[in-house]
Amino acid sequence: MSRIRVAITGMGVKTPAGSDLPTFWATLLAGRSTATPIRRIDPAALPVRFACEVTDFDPATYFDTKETRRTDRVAQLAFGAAADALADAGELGADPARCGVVAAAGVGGLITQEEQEYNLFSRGPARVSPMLVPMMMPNAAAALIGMKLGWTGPNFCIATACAGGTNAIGEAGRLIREGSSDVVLAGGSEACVTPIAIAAFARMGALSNRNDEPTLASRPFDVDRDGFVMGEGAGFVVLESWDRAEARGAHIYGELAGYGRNSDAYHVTAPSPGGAGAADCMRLALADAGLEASDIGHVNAHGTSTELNDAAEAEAVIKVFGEHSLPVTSAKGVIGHLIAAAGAVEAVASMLAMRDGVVPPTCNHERTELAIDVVTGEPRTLGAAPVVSNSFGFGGHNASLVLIPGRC
Amino acid sequence: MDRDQILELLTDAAVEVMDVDRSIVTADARFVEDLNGDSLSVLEILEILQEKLDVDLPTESFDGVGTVGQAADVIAKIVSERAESPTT
Repeated sequence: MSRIRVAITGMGVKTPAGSDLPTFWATLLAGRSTATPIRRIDPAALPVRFACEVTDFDPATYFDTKETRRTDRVAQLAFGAAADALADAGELGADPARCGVVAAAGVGGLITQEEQEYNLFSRGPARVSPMLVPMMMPNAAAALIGMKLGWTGPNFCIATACAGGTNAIGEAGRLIREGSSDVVLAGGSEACVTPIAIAAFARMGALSNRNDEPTLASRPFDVDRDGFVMGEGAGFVVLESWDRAEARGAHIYGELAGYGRNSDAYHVTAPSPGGAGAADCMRLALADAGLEASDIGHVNAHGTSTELNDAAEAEAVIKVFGEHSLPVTSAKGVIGHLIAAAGAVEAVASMLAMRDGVVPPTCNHERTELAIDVVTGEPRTLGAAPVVSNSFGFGGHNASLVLIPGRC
Repeated sequence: MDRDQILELLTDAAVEVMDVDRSIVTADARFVEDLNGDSLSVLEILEILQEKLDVDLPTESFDGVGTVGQAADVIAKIVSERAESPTT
């Protein structure tokens, strides 16, 4: 019996580069940085005072006042992207018990948690909001999406740090493939442009320090990279079996053909030497798709702009594909690092790249010491070829998708 | 702060939290049955009142409270006790 193929039939994003697909894609193709001084909070006391924020998202588009009060920004962004993906997919005609949600979160409702911790320490435990738990829990976004849609199928949260969005889509594909769901909304969200998150990542040395030049700060694979730029946002896709999508006449962006996931089992923050874990992960995804390295058109890299990630990922790409063998791009030059949303948003970018046959440039990439072919400056015309999209998380979590163009 | 003023603040909060028309928020109105509330709505309203009055309103003090007027009675009592307490 042949394997069930997984079609991607709807996509939605809430990102610093735009909260609808056309704006998001145009900003990526323009290779324009979205980093600015932080607006949501006063960053004056913070060591890093810039980020990539979502500026055009209004919760009232998706929620009544009661829902807005009871949800953290991370869940609001998630549902916004999920609802857009659902609308994009058209009439599903699916049994709600056969519809699932897989949503990644890195830290959950950190904005709410910080506000309430302030209340705890400044005014005592009686002033802690009774809504803190349901607003901060990392599974809040998955729960909200399920409740709003009345979808009673599988529903869970993935917490693999920066690999989450990619893991969510991959695991959702497995739900379709194993036959436990007909339709799955999968993706990730993050909203941690907050004092504690900025301070903590800065203390690790993970963030770029270019406070005077925010738009030059995120420079994936560039020799002068000095850390990532904090981003926020969400990305979701609708997955369903290919046969089902075809039968209902859906617009099919492409196929989730392969998924690899593994663990470095090496260090809590540093990648394994030579990108060994990441290389194995990409090989797992290729094998799952039944493709060879030579079948892949380009790599949508994790490419965070940190010294360690980019060096290890480049080594991993070289191990799998060879030196200067295929174009590599990272969206993080434009949108920063969306943590658990990154992989989901980048999967959306990968699908749009295949649709249009172009690879977006890597913003701020000028020179590199690494033996890979980074797309920079202008979009590169490539045709509709398969993409490997990577995400790697603190904890040593690796996840790779193989996405291939729509075909009938 | 007398009971009427507290009732006024409760009404404001109920309108905000439950998204209901002000005219139906009477002293006899029941949070859940009459005002589109649920088990968390009363807690949210108390949270707002805590901020407005700058007083702790322990959840357990509201056991058995079902109507807006009953909530106003409990809050008025807590506020008056605090006024008499030399430590606050």
